[in-house]
Amino acid sequence: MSFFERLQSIPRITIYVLVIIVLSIPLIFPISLPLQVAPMTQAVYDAIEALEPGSIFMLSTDWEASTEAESGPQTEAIVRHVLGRDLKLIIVGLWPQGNSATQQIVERIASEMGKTYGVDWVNLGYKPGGEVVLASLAANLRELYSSDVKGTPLDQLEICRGLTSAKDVDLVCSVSWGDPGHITWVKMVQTQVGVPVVAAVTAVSLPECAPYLQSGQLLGVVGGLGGAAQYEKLVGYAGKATAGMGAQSFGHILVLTLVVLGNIGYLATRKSKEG
Amino acid sequence: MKFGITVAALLNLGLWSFLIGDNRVFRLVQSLYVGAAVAHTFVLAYRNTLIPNLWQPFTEGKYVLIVPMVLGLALFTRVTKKYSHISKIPMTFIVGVGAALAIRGALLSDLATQVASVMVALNTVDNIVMLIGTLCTLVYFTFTIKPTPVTRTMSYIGRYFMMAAFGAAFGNTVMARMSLLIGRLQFLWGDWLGIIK
Repeated sequence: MSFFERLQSIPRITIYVLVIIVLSIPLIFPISLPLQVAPMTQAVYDAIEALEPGSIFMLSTDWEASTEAESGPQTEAIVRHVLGRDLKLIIVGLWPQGNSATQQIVERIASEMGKTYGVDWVNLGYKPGGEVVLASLAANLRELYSSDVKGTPLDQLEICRGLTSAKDVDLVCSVSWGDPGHITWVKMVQTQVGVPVVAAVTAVSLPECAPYLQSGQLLGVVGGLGGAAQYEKLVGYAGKATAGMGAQSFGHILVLTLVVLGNIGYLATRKSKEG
Repeated sequence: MKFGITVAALLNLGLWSFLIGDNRVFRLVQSLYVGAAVAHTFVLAYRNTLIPNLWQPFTEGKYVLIVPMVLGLALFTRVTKKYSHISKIPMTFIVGVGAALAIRGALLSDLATQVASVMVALNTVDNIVMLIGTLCTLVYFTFTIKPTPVTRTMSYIGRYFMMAAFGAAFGNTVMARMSLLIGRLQFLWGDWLGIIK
């Protein structure tokens, strides 16, 4: 097998090992790279900044454990901003694992920032059903949620006073990895009730957000780990997303190199075959 | 080093062992994950939905809830051959309600609003590119008219717009997978081994 043929058939295990090494080096020996904030990330920040203190911010935890690497830092950055702005944080969820993980994240941040459960934030919990849940939430939140995730009746929670339906919410943010998620919120709440929606999505889901951003149905989007790092920069702290940016850049360079090498091998062998 | 973190790290490595090839450790860890995820979902659905939305109001006198309760229980008849046809009744209801809600949302959100958002003033390059891209891509999927040189050219251009969109989707997929691996490496090197401070 010639050198160029070898370039087209690098063993899979070699690529796995290379990727792990290349990603690990900048994690262990951090490097600082410049980070530009994308307009769609800035739009999410601006939408939250535009809210008056005391406004109701609904965070929908529409993700699962498998996307924790992206959705976790996104949640953390947005929650820090929301609690820092003294907004009322209401957590709901269309997926089970993301809701439990978010509970842990917010408990930690609220404790750091001196925020009280039931006054500054509350978790209403996961409800199965996707579209049905959001249709119900848009019509009558009290019928859907009689108590919070700890079993406390909503009437006993100060933060829930005056909250009867999605119409009372000032801004919704869906931290989402798929369906049901940000698009479900756009379809069932933004379009039908008129509540503005922003999203924080995994990088895989980012392209499908483009039409909704273009039309204004989504005010802004935090996309993937990169978006989370940009949000951390806007909020003014360096978390896990910022720490992962060097590794991600190195990983992309490796993938590009492998794609170029494979193509060089293909073109060279095709030339020799034709010759 | 915390015991729980070590267990999680070993399970993580067990799942990664699939990279070398399918093996018993991978299958064991996979089964553990699926089992834990199903149990977690069941407990949350029971505690957050079945009790507060069904059982509690029923015991407080909202007897009309017997209808969804019976329909829900009827779904379990699927496990028997003799009575499995009964499960079609609640399934029909679920599909009907789900489809009706989805169609209403899709018509307003994906059709009306999206069509309206393409009707823009052609005063910027962005708007012109968006209009050309939308029209040409729609022509590509129009199979019921006889092709003419104009529609063939538009269809050809539409294909390039779609290829650009697929390229963006592939790039984002690579980025997402890298991010997930970075998250796991941060856990292994940081939380488990303490190499990352």
